[in-house]
Amino acid sequence: MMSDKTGLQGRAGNNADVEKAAGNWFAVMRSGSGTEQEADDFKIWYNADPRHQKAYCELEKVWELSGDFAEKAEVRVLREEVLHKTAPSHFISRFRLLAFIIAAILIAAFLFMAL
Amino acid sequence: MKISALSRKSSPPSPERLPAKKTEKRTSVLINIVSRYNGALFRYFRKSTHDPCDAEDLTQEVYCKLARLEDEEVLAKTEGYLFRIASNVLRDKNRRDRVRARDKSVPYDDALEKDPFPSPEQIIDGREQYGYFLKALKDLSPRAREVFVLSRFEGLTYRQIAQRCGISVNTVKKHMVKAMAGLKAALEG
Repeated sequence: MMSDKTGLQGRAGNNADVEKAAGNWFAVMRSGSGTEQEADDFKIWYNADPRHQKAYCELEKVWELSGDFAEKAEVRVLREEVLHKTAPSHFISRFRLLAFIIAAILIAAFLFMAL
Repeated sequence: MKISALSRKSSPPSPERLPAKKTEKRTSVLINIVSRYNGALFRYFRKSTHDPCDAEDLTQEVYCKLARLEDEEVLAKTEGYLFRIASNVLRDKNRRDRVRARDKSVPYDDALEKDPFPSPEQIIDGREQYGYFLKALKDLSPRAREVFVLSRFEGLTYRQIAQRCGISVNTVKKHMVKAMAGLKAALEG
């Protein structure tokens, strides 16, 4: 997680870097499976610069605000759509099994012919 | 940022009503307390909740409570009670968590905390923001929208989202970053 590529360490930098780092940190902290190490690193980043705190808090505000809209009619429709679209489907898993068997047969046939 | 967002909910005494000098002094006392105790408060909550995010939220909540105090003299005295406020905040959180665990059909404790009597300005402001939010949500790429909705509204972890969408956890994170950036830009603009 801690690499300069992700912008998580950017201490001194321009505002775009700070925004980028805040965005990355925010996503890391909301993963639902953060590690102790990440938490410690986050705290160091967060306390390193008031701009970090400001940028991070702005994202928290967006997060809080969006929570207020959770039960609005349009959002409810969208939630249902997403749940339906991403629901683990029996058809898909059966299709995957079939694809796997066909692939296995093809590979076996190929190997057989190669011999 | 968050201080103003939260204190808005329970309509604190408006700073305009206080003399400017007093407000200024009050703010400087507040900043002083925050800078001195930020680390200690965060550690206190971090130890009790095992979640840095919760710890961060709770620390902010203490500041919100402080920010609501009208008088800088009261504020200065409050310094001694800081950790009593902190322990009250923690107790409230635990109570909220218990309520949430008992009644899973209420997915957000935000809903329980909502101001039951918003002012007309707040209603108009909220409607406008909702419009921007909805448009921004629809403007996101389908994947970013799915990831955001599943994380924010359905409370799934990135791992669960990754499984559901058939993508990697790292990709979930990337979509989350994009979604938040898009929503933030829309709500600020």
